[in-house]
Amino acid sequence: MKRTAASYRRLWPVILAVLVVLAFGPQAVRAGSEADPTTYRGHPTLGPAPEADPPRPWAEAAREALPPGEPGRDYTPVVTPNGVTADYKIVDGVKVFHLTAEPVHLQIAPGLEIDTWGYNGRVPGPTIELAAGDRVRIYVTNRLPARTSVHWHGVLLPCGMDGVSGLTQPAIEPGQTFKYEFIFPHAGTFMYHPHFDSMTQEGMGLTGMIAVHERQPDESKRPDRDFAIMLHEWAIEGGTSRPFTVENNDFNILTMNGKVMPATEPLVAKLGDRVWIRFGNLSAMDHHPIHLHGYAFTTIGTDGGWAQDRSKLLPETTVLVQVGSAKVIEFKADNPGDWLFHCHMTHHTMNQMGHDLPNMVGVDAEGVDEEIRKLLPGYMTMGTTGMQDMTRMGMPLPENSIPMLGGKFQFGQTVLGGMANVLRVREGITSYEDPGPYDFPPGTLSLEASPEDLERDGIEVEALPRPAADEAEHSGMHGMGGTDQ
Amino acid sequence: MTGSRTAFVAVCLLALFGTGCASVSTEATWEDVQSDVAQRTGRSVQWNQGTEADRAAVEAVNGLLQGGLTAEEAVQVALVNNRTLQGTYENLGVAQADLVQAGLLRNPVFEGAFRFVRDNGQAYDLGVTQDFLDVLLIPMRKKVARARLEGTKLRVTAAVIDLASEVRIAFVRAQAAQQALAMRRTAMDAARASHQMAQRLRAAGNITALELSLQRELYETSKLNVQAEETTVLETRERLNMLLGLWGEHTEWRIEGALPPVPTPEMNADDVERKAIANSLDLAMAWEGLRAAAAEMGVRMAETVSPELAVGLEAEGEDPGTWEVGPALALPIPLFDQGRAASARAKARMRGLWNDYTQQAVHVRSAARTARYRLLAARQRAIYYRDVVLPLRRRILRQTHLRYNAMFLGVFQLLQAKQLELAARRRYIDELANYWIARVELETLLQGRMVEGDGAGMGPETAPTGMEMMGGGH
Repeated sequence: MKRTAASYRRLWPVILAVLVVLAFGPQAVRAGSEADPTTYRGHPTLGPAPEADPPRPWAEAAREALPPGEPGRDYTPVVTPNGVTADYKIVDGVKVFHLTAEPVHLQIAPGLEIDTWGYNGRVPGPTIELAAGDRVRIYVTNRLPARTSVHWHGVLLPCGMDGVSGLTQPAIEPGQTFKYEFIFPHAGTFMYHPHFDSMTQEGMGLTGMIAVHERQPDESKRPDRDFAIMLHEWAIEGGTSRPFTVENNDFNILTMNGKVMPATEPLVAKLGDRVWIRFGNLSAMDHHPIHLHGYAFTTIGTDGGWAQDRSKLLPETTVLVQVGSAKVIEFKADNPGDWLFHCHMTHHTMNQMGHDLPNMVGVDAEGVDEEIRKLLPGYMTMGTTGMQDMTRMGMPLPENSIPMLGGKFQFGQTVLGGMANVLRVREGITSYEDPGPYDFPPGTLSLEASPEDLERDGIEVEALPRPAADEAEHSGMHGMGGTDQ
Repeated sequence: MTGSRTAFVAVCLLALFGTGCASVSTEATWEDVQSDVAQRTGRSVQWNQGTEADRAAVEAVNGLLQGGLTAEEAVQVALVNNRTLQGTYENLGVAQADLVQAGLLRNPVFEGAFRFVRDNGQAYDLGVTQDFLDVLLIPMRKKVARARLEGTKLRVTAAVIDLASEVRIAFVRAQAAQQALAMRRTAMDAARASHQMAQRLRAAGNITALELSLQRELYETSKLNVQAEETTVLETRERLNMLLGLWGEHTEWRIEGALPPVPTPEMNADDVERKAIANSLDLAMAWEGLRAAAAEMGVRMAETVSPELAVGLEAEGEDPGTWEVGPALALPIPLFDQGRAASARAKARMRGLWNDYTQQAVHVRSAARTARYRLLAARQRAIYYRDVVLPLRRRILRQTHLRYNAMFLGVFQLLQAKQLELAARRRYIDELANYWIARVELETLLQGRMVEGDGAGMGPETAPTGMEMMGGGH
């Protein structure tokens, strides 16, 4: 065998190839190892996260590669009144969720049921609950008649997962299932909703809360009670069963987690509990100032993050939850009782008011009722003292409507419905089941003043006169003040 | 002399027997009319001639007027009490007398002449002349008079049917007006209640002066509507008073009940053209007119078929007849006037009368089709109102009331919905009235008379077309 120079020359490509493999091979192999932030246990998911200044949050989390958080161990689970927490599977350390956008039949309160759209048969959709550092894979199936997408409101993630149909992804066609995958690096309060034809699809109820907890093994450092409430508004004409999403001013049903008072499920806390309430607002057009009775709280977080220095927070009794934002309030439940909390826009605590009627407050209809009853049996003049006439039972009403239906409590009607609920704080309860109405300790209730009291304190009360003609401009106020309980 | 006396007696005897036994009594004729009316309408008629039976009939009428009056009772009252109708019956006496007259020879004429003769003598010329030609004309005259009597009987029957039909229609109108007035009064109550409520709202400072004025306007307009309806009620009542021949305290009658609903099953409306032609008094009167004119002009009506006759006669059931002109009587010596002019005139006149007759038949057929259609259409509308429109309006009112209870809308909208419901009920009353009027019109047509226009009708005093054909007076 002759080894000529010519034969060596033929070997060069082979040698070159071997050198290349030796030079770069190990690196290529390393690309498939656990240390690579773009894969997890060999499953390529997210694209490579290049080094950047400032560093991207998810990239940091990816380098930490936290295992899935567990309720109880890592965090106190959030409570969604009238709702549920989303189910998930853990597949190779990734929390896998399945959301289905579909038509939903929703009962807003007994007597009012609507056909609308929601996630997994619910409005709002199930609360997605995670621990900081969790990696999630969310499958979204579209069973709506329209295209859709899901936007993760407030979540810091790669743009391709942002869920804006047309801008960051093609729309999810009816029948298709898309996959979203990203990491939640930090604790926070977020929301999810479509970003295709938002006016219609958000308006129809495709909404949901996301609660991401800090991993905190020390229970005493966690809140004792953590609630998630999604605020929403609807225009549902009494007698219809379909929300009118084109409405932009006259909304007549305002819900907390898809329900109105009296169907809102009370929040329960033990005396001394540290309570968090997370409010999200995906109403179309209205902000909601949520007022809590009995407490001054601080707003410790939003959908953007947490207050850095909680000692400098301004105490409030009303938190304004703007459209498209979430607020987290914190207080210590040191005041026992049944505490109302509600949107303080007074129209938002009325169910399905009509606006086509004349102003009846202060009108003296004596004698006219009888005349009208001859023509219309069962007729009754209403509204002369405000809305308390609607608390009268037994009047036939249009089907599928709850005109000004209100909460009925142990002392009677409050004439309050809509975006309202009750926080029950009890001493010595062993479970967080609804404990029923508060048993007011004797002497702590406001009741009619006794004659002895009046005399002792020198309070003179003459019999109230009937509003005379010259007091016509005050008659409205008489209607609302006065001795009515 | 004996010969002339014998001749005289012979003439007298001839005169006596030549006339036939015609009586001036109208009893038989009246019975014919009564049975014709009964057969066409099922009603019995009474000719007030001051007898005991007549006085009893008048008292029965007073009895009817005391209680609530129904449509049938109103007709009964009219048949007894309407003086024009009673007057029409007297035409029978007139025609009967004419018949008798036609059969009588002209009275002999007594002539006397006194002549003065030159040679101291006087002479008398006395003579009795008898128009012998008359005798030969009697059969023709009798034929004419008989035809005219038949025509008069038909005319009287027609007058009865006309009156009954007018009374029924007037009654429906009066009943409907009364019900409409009740609706208008209720509508006024609703408008008043609405206005009162507006006044209370204004007193409380809750509505504007403009809104109050608008409510008041609705109320005042409703008062005007009530007054208009009251006027209609009065007018319809007065029409009935006139038809029933009532005045004074007898006008205090009241109507029993409401307009009856559309009946089930509907009256038989099959084959109306044929039945209308068969029963048509107008056609029968026209036929008698033709007969009288033919007899008068010495025209014999022969029996041949002509296409023109098919229009009226095949339904008529009579033998189709045409006429031919021929010499009827040849007594006048046709020396200069051979009758050609007369026969030409007769032909022309008969053709004219025949055209009128045919057109009358066309009219009757068209009226039959129209009356049938109107009845069925009116029935459909009334039923539609009863079964669709009124229940829908009630449903709308109920839904409005429910929304009022829910405070989705206010009392003014509720009362407005009530007003619309009352308006629908008023329209239903109109449709029901239209149905019953259409029904009277069809029934009258099948009894033999056409009701003209909107059923304002022809009174007994209005001459039917047949009369005009009877040429001149009788």
